[in-house]
Amino acid sequence: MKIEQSALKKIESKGEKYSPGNLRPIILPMELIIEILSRVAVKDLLRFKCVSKEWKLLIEDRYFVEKHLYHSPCGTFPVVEQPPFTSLQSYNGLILEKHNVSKEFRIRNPATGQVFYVPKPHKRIRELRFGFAPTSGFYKLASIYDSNVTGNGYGGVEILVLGTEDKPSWKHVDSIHLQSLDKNDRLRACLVEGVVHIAKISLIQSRDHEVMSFDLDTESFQGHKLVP
Amino acid sequence: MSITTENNEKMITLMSSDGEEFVVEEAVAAQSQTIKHLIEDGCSTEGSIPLPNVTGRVLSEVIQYCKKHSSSDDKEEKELEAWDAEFVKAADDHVALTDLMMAANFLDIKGLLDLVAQTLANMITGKSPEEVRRMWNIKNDFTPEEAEKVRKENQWAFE
Repeated sequence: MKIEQSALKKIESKGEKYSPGNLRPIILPMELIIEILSRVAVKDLLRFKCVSKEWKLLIEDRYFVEKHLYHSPCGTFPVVEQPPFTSLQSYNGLILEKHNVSKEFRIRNPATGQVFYVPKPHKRIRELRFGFAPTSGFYKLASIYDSNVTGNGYGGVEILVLGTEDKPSWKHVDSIHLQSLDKNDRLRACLVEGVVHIAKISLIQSRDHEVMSFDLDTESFQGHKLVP
Repeated sequence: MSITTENNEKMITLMSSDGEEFVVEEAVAAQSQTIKHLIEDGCSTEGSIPLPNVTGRVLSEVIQYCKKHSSSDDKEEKELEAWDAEFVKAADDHVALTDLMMAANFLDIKGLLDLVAQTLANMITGKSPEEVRRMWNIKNDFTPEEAEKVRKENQWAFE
């Protein structure tokens, strides 16, 4: 134990400290900047974009944003609505909202104040959901439409990928699971972990209801179940 | 240099960049993944392990941390948290903390890296870009026009 004690003594004797006035040049390597900034609140980050070009690039980098999200405190925070918009869904700190009058949709980041106005979806839209597609690394919106009360037209699914282009547009999903839809079918949807579960409810009593699972990442149907 | 104590603890010697030697239990030193791998690769059998990136002053702090964290178990989590808080407080300023963080990064001690990163993050919270630049001698490479534009885009973060 003698050696151990002498080592301890050595530690205790090292009392030197830097005085606050010590201006020894100290350089912070990028990997450490990332570690520190990923633990800073969003408002501070936005201000720190002004520190230097390198800091601005880092703070706007997608992988940094993901890392920052990982360190963010978990749990929900109160969604403060901005009338005339009503919130429909919140996900990863983003809020999907709908305008009460114009029925326009938008996605808002309450932490940064950024707003993205969603291009007009199908006019018979029934449900709109958004989630993160981890493989592609993009947020995606799924719009589900049906033949609505008038019984005109058939239902379907449209997808919009956010962040790939300046003006993204809706793209129609073509699938055998949707081809059988007719004017008596009503669609409802919910989103769980990147998968949109779509319930097909037939107005004709004798017909079975169906649940289809649409994977936002692969943009394909991965399951289909009959519900009597 | 591999020495065994009366308690049968294997000891190893760590040498700082300024030539200071620290004899510590292997279990303590192995909190550092970097040192652990060096031991596994047989680099500690002859003489001491040289750590060219870490000064004696910083290394002694790192060893303090590793000692505390190798002797505590999960039950003492609260006590350990309080100890960590005191430990970073003793490091005093951002220069000492940055040195400590660089060492934690080089030595690959995750707990220490997390602790110091969070302390520095708390330290810069609420500070202006100018204050942050001064802390780490960062050059403002924006032209006045660019700086004004970035500031305007993020105006609310300055209020």
